[in-house]
Amino acid sequence: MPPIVAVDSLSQKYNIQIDFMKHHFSGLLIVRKMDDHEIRILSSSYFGMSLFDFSFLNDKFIINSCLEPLRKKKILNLLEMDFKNVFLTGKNSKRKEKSAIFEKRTSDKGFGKSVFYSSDFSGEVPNRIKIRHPWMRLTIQLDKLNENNP
Amino acid sequence: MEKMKRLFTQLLLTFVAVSSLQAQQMKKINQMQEFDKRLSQETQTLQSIESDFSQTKYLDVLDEKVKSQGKFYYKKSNKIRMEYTSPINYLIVINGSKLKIVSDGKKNIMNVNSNKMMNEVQNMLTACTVGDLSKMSANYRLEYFEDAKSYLVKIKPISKTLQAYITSIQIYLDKKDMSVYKMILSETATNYTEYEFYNKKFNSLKNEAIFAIH
Repeated sequence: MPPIVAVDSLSQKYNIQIDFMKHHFSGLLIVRKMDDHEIRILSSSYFGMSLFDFSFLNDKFIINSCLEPLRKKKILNLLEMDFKNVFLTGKNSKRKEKSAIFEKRTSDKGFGKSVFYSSDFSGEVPNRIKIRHPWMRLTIQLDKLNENNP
Repeated sequence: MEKMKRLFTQLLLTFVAVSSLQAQQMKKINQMQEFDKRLSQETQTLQSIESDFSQTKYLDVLDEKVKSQGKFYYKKSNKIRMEYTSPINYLIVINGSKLKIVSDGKKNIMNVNSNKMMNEVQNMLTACTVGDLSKMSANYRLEYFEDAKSYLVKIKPISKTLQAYITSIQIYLDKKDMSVYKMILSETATNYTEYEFYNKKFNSLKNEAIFAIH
C-alpha cells in the first residue's frame, strides 16, 4: 500500500493539531522531500518558535532538533510511527474502509494502536488526516493549508 | 557591449555591497542619556497601540519563508493581543499573569507566573513589542545602536536555559515616536522570525474587552 500522503520536492503545509487529554496545541507542519531523498518534517508554533525538525533518510528516523518537553522516548517513537505511516509507507498498516471520500487504516495493536482517518479528498490526496491513539487519549490532526488561499 | 555588461554588474555589486554595509552601519551608542530620556518619555505617555503586523519565519534547511499576518493590540499595562488572520485564525492574549491561546475554536489558558519560562517570554514580549525595556530582567544583556532614523536594541539572554530557545532578539525603534517597527527573534543563527508592525495608532484604543481572559 502507498503511504497516505505522497511527499515530493514541493513543500506541503499543514495545520497540525495535537489534543492530549485536555490540552490542545496547534501549529504549522511543513513536509518536503529533499534532493537526497530525505523526507524532512518541521513544525513550529504560529508565533514562530520551532517545535521539532525530523528527517527520514532510508527508513532511518533522525531528530535534528526537538523542543525539550517533547524530547521523550515514548512521544518521539509515537511521532516517528505516525509520520512514517502518513508520509513514508503503507506497509505497516491495514486498510479497513475505503471510498471516494473516506479512508480508514489501522496500525499496530494494543497500546501502540493508531487509527488513521483520511478525508476531504482532492483526487487521491486527502486534505485532512486524523490520527487517533485510542489507548492514550491522544489525537493528531493534519489539515492541509492552501497556498493560494491560506 | 561586453564592457557595458561588466560595468553594469560591477555597479550592481557595489550597490548591493553598499546597501548591506549600510544595514550594518548602525553606530553603537555609548551615551545612553538621550535614549533613556526619550524612551521613558514615550512609554510614560503611551496608553495603547493598535497596528497591523506581518511575520516572516525563515527556515534555513528548506530555504523557505513562512509568512503570517494579523492585528496587534497593546494596552497599558501588560495587556497584549495578537490576532493572526493568515495562514489561519490564531489568537494570543496576554493579560497580567494570564495567557490565552485560541486555535481551531479551542482555547488554552495558562498562568504565566506558574511557569518561569513562560513568564520570561511574556516579559520579553511586552518589552520588545512595546519598547518598554524596564521590564527586561537582569537575565539579559542589552546593546544599543543607532542611525539617523532608528535605534536598535540587541538583547541576548544570559541564562543557558533561555539560550536553548532564543539566542538573540533585535528590536528596532523609530526615532520619530520611539515605537517598535521591527523585531527579529532568533532561535539559532539561521532560524529566525521577523515581525513588522505598521499602520500604528496610539492611545485611541478604548475596548478593554478584547483582552478579557475567561
